[in-house]
Amino acid sequence: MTLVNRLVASQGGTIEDQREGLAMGQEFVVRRPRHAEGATDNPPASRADDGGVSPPRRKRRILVADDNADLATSMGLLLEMMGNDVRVTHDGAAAVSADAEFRPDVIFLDIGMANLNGFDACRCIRAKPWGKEPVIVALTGWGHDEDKRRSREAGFDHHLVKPIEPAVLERFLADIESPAA
Amino acid sequence: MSDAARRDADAVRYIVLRKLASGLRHTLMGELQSIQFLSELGARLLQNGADETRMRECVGKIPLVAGEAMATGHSVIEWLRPDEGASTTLGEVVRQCVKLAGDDWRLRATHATVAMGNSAGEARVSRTAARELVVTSLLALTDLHPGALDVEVVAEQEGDSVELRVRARRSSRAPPFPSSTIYHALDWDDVAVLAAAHGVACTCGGDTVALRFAVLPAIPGSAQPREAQRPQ
Repeated sequence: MTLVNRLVASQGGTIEDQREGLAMGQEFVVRRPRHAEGATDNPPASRADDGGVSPPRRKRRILVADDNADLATSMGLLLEMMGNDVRVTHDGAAAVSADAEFRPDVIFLDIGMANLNGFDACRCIRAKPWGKEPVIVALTGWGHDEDKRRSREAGFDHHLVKPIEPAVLERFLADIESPAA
Repeated sequence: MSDAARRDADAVRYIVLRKLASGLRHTLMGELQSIQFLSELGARLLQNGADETRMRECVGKIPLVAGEAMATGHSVIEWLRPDEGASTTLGEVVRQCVKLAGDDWRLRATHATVAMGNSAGEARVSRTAARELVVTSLLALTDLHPGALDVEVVAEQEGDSVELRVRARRSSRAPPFPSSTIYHALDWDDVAVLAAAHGVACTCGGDTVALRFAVLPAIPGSAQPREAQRPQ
């Protein structure tokens, strides 16, 4: 009971013993504050009755960099299927050098990549003469507020937390306004 | 072990799991995301009547990534509900723990080197005891010494026991981002509590921890480690 009391108190709640007498069993009433509906990490997926998702407005050049090869490849194939021109790399340094010739409109960077992490890769890209142009998106398993703040500091435009629904990804691409668009 | 000591050990275990949650999630989500993307791609290819070669390529990848995610999921459950009687090699434990505790070390400019002397890496030890103590030691080291570190893990087998030493040295590398403590900070007292709970000799202080594990007999009829799960 002491443990339950502590747990309830730690969440700002109260617990009352509603026992009416010996041999009457025990009834406890726990009250805890309701949390307001919070924003999710990622935008909501479109509902089925929305009539599906809209295709991207135009064919975009998209660079995907993730050291999880399966994820990078599957995401690249899916983005191609959505009508985009896609390149895939598996580390931050390759992402920075691949950029120069490809000039992507949108770049998805994992954060915890080998060679050059996503934060540094983003800074390197932003430091290039054309580096202000692409929309750079952190796509990562790290979703704490601190991680998002660091993403902003590094120059990311958006911070998406894995897992991300394919429909959300598609709508996200349709919604973002690339300066080049 | 007294009830109070058991509760203290469980409290440390809870803190460790909370601290590892980010790394566990990171690994698991990456693998599940691949399955979702490939499944979605397959569905769209079917719907659009795409060419068979591309469909084969897509569908052919699903069993492999699904298998990896299954193994990772199994391994995560093993961290949450360990099999107390299981054994594994010390080398395997160190590899798992460095990967898991060091999930974000790349961003903290912290590097680890592992040196397993003679047959120490192949020495069989209690999986639960070794996992809990090695990962807690790594987390305590980085909490006690925030900033860029060189972490050295060294093991030597001596007779029927194996000694593992973990040491942190300050590095001059500039971390992309400063260290931040996840959940509660761990210290050497926490490592000592777990060591006592497992009956493992432990000497810790400053920038070094030394743990002495009993070497368990090899599993009869098997030259391979019993570890069935894919390590984290």
